[in-house]
Amino acid sequence: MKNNLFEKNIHSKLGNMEIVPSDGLFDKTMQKRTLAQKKSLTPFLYKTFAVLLVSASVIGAIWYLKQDNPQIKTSTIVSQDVPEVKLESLQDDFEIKPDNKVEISNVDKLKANNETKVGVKSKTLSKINNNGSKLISRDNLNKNKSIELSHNTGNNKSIFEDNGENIYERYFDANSKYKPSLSKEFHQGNSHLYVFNSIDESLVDAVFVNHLKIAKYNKFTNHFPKNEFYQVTNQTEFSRSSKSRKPIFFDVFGLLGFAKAMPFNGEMSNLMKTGSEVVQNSAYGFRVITPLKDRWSVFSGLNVHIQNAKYQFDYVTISNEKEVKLVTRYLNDPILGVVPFSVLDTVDVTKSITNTFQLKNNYKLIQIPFGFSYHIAYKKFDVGVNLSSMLNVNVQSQIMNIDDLKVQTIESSKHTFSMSHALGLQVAYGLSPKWKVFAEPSLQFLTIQSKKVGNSIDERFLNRQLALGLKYSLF
Amino acid sequence: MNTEDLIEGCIKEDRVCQRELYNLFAGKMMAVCMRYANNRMEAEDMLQDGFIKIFDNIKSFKKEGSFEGWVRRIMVNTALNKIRTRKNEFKEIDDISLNLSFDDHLIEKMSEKDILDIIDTMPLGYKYVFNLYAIEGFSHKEIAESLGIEEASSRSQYSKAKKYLQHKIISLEKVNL
Repeated sequence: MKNNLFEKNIHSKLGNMEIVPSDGLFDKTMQKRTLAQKKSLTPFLYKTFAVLLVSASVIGAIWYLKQDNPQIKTSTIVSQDVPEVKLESLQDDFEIKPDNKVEISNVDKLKANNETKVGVKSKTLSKINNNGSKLISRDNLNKNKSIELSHNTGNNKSIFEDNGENIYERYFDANSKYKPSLSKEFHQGNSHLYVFNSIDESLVDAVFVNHLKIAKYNKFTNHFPKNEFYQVTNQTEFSRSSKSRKPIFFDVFGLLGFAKAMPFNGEMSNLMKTGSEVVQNSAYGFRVITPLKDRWSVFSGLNVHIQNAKYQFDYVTISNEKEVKLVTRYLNDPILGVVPFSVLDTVDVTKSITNTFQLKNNYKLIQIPFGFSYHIAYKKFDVGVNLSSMLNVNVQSQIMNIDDLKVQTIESSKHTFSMSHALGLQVAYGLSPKWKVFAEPSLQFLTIQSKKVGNSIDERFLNRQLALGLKYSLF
Repeated sequence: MNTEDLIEGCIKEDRVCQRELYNLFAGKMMAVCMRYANNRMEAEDMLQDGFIKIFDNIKSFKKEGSFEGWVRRIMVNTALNKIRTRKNEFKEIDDISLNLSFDDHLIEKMSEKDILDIIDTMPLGYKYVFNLYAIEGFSHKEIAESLGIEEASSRSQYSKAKKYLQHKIISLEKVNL
């Protein structure tokens, strides 16, 4: 290029040209630079502050939840006066009487009309249950702490291994040397009560678990009728030494999806999709879920969402023009009749010009979801429906715009905001008491305010997506 | 103080060296910015942003090529970033000068201002392509990447812009005669 005399001349004329800028511009530049440096530090400081705040909150929450709440802490002392039970009088279930020796501290903390006087008492801990296995008495356990306890109820062994042991270790931090045996378990709906043969008075003996509540119970008898399941759990609530906790779940996930672009609005409505569209989305993120009541939970989190769309369009321009054409006309001759003849004439012609374009738009969004979950099942598979709305912050856009029949690529990091809505079905499977793996097919209706970053249209998508992830239970 | 000393001083954030460096290049860089800006105020804004980038990134200058070339490249990129959101017009330029025979020495007789005035009458897209190729020395590939257009478009637009300029210069010459 530079060998060409024309360019050489232009370059020599204009390449070294000088224009004096305004006075004082250097000082203004340095002031602007100082301001820019301060501004560039601000997001870093905000981010650092946010990380510290979140870390402090998490550590604080864990610390707080590990503490016993003194306001609800009560203690029940079960009578040590254990009457002798004759073999013929042995029953699996014993009556729960409210007149047992019960001491309750912090009574003033309890409601006046509650049933705090109802205590549970272990009338006997040494008997033979209906299955013929021997339940070891508390006294015997105390004397034989080194005995490796086992649960010999035949079919129930697997339950002990799979549920009882895990549950005990999970909620009681049992010393494995003194691992207690599972005495009984009751299941009603989504609620489970696991009762253990205690080996020490200081240890708790039962845990009540459902998806809303995990409660430990102290010195709780393991002999009560199944039909009093709720009564027992309700009454015993007052004799627990640990507060009940709502579990907090953390979901981390990756997501892939295929989408359908929805019809456009706006000035480019004469764009007609002609070729195949390829719209894909992917995301990764996390959610924090906490139960509300019954089967309902709420969640929020953060997702990084990538939306890629590739289309082929026809842009049709219609114009009215005049053209000279050979036109057939007719002459009514009195002798020959109707005679056709051709003449050149100017006629109005409507022309449609079609231009085909390939457009490729990419967006990067930060999504903050707020949603509800409804648990359909909470057994081997935890099945729930998730409904959420998301605040989308479009942080990066690369779009192709048609302007005056020319395609232009625009890259922008301008932040725009929009909302999207999602409906999903989550199926989770427990890997361990604390970890679950889940799959969640979902539909997401996503709007991106792409006009604000220079596009001619606001794009809307219906994403059909599948998320795979891990769920961790904090408690 | 030679350029190397100035660079070393700027790396150390020495305000005297920064001012010296500014004084050394401000005039030429202002002319660069004026070629892309709509007005003087916008050009000065580009100039400020360009010098901020230069002072922020002067450590990364590898001293392999010309320092002025490095400064100019930063200034042009800053200007292009500023105008990126602007619609690049590529309206058709009259092709009346297709078979024009042009005497290259005519340019030598003209003042810089007259040439710039003619360039300023071009639609923006052509003006940018012409400036980048003929004055800043960008390749068509680099122009295509910078302006988000095809390399072939850059070539054809440059060719049209060049003929347009030649035609205008001839017309001006005829009027003067």
